[in-house]
Amino acid sequence: MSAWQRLGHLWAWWNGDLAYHRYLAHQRAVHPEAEPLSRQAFYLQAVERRYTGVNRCC
Amino acid sequence: MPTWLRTIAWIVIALLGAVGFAMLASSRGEPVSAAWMVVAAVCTYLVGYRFYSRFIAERVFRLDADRPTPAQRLNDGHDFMPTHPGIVFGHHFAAIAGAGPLVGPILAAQFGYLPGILWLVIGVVLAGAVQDCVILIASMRRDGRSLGQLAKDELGPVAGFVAHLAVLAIMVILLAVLALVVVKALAHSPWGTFSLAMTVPVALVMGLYLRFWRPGRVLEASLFGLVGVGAALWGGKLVAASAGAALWTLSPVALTWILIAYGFAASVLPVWLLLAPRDYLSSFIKIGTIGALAIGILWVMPQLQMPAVTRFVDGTGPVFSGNLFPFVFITIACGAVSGFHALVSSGTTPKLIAREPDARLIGYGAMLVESGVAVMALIAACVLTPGVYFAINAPSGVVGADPVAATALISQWGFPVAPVEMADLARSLGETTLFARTGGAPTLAVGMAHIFAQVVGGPGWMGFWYHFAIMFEALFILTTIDAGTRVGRFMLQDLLGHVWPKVGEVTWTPGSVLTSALITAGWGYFLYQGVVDPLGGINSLWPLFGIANQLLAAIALCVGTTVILRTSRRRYAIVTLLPLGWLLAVTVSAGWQKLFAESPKIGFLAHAAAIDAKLATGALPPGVTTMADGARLAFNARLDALVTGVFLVSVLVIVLVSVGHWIRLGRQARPVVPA
Repeated sequence: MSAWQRLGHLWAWWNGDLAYHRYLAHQRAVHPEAEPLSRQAFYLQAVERRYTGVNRCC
Repeated sequence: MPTWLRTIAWIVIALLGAVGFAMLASSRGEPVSAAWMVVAAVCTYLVGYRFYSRFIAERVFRLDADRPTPAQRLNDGHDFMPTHPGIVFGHHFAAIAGAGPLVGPILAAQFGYLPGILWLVIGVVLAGAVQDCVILIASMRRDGRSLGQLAKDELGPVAGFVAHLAVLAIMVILLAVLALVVVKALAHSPWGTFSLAMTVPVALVMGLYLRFWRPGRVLEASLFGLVGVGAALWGGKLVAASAGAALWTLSPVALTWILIAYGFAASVLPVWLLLAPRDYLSSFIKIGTIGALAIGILWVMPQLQMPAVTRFVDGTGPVFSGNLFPFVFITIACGAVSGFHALVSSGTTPKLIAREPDARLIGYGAMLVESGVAVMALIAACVLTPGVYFAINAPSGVVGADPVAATALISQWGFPVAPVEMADLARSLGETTLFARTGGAPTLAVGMAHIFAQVVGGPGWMGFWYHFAIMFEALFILTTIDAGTRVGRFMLQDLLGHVWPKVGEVTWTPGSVLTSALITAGWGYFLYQGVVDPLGGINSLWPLFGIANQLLAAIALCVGTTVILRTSRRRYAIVTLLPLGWLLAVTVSAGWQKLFAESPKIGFLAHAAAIDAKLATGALPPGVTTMADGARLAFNARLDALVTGVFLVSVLVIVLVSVGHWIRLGRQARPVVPA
């Protein structure tokens, strides 16, 4: 990947746009027999988890 | 690069930093360029990172790139995930950088710029970044356990319980004081109120977009959100100039009720609808604006008009009362040392670290950058002429409500300012008045407007930049308030679940609504108290928040010391004991003064007694209109004293328990357990 492509990849990763792809890859690798969540369901779960527990300061 | 060249480079950087401090410290009357502040800060951060954080990483903890991190061992695809260090840094920084570094330095500028910059730079290198880094490493090496759990594991269940309680109490005070900052910034400001209100529908649309139409496409939704926010900002100007301005001109009390209702609603509504989109939006705006401010300061290199040290180091300051020691160290928390960061450092971040050595960059480095943000805020406050700064930040309870009398008093103090000057400034910013706009946000906005206007737009854009700055700060404060209320609700549910198990179930809606209401009522009460306080709520609430925050830092450093003492490199515990000792000295003396000082301007109990005495004679204390209000003012002062007392007792309990553990550890044979 060129430097620009790498930067773009990092940017998408930081924004969370790659989260579902990474989840699918993880599911394929570790739980191939289980049905992965749909994009919508994954997003909802991720967002719920994100706002449980202390996650920011003043 | 050859070693001798590297050595020379570091000597040059260190000398440059020393020259920067020398220029700041030796100014006599003439304005100093902000460049020296930037140079002093950046050079110190570089030296601190290169030498001290490397010492902590390599000698104290022996971070090992080959040792599997919990992200690798417990990889579950969502919480535990090895993540690129740049990404983790970005998330961690976005989590720790809030409104704290933007408010504290502005208030501390009343002492002049020198105390603030010294504490910010020295404090972060020796205390703040150390705390963040040590807790991050300790949590990472214990599978991402939280600070409360670490306290329980290392110091016992009593300390763990006290830590949990302290965190809940600090959260409530923090939310109240941040809400107060927003109220003070938006009161009687139709432009600001309209713009901020419009960000709610923008966020709702984003939330629906992300839920139903394009789930997970954060960037797209945020782009729409940014455009929406820009439109809200422009719309605010139109509204303020139109007949509808009266509708959006709200009193502080009205804003208080609106904020309380909003905070409650946002924390009980589904997270994806309002909270999450607000969070994405405010993260982008926060980081973008901080970056723009850095560029602006570097471009303009403004002169610092504030003197190095003002007369108010003697404790008679209008912005908040109290001597330089210990109160400057309490007022500036985030940016130097902030206990709350330990919660973030033991939250989601340790579960994302891919290699152990990354923890140095993320833990130490992110805190240095936040300190840089605080330095920029200090610069923004100090580019104002001192007379204007005090006119904005002195509450009406101190200088009176009449502009002519207020400016005369401030000029008498030695900071010349004229009513015409203030009226012109207000008009150029699109505000009706700037007097008594306490809380730090308007001052920061004025400073930012001065700087940005010199880069883009000129004097005609001052109003736009001012309201942009107000909205930027209010936007992410509001997000902190919603998210914080929700977090507080979980903590309370957890705590109450021990006595009433049904409430502890997070999915039981009546329980979550009830606990949300309780948390909101908690911070809402302190907010209301601060808003109606004639001395300006910042005077009493901000020191309370600062003391609480630094006490939490002391708790975190106790945990960190215990962790280091369990390793084979016990003598390195000095790394956490040094800042711990300092923090205890500062916060215990500040807490003691806030409780027992004889002057009613400083001591809560003395203030309550003075009010009681006045009411007993049948007279009313200044700024109070009825006897009932006077009695409530005395009650609130006593409540603040109680809260201070509870914080002090909590930290003393934990320190005693910790010292007990340390003595026991000291008597044992040297262990060979990795940290």
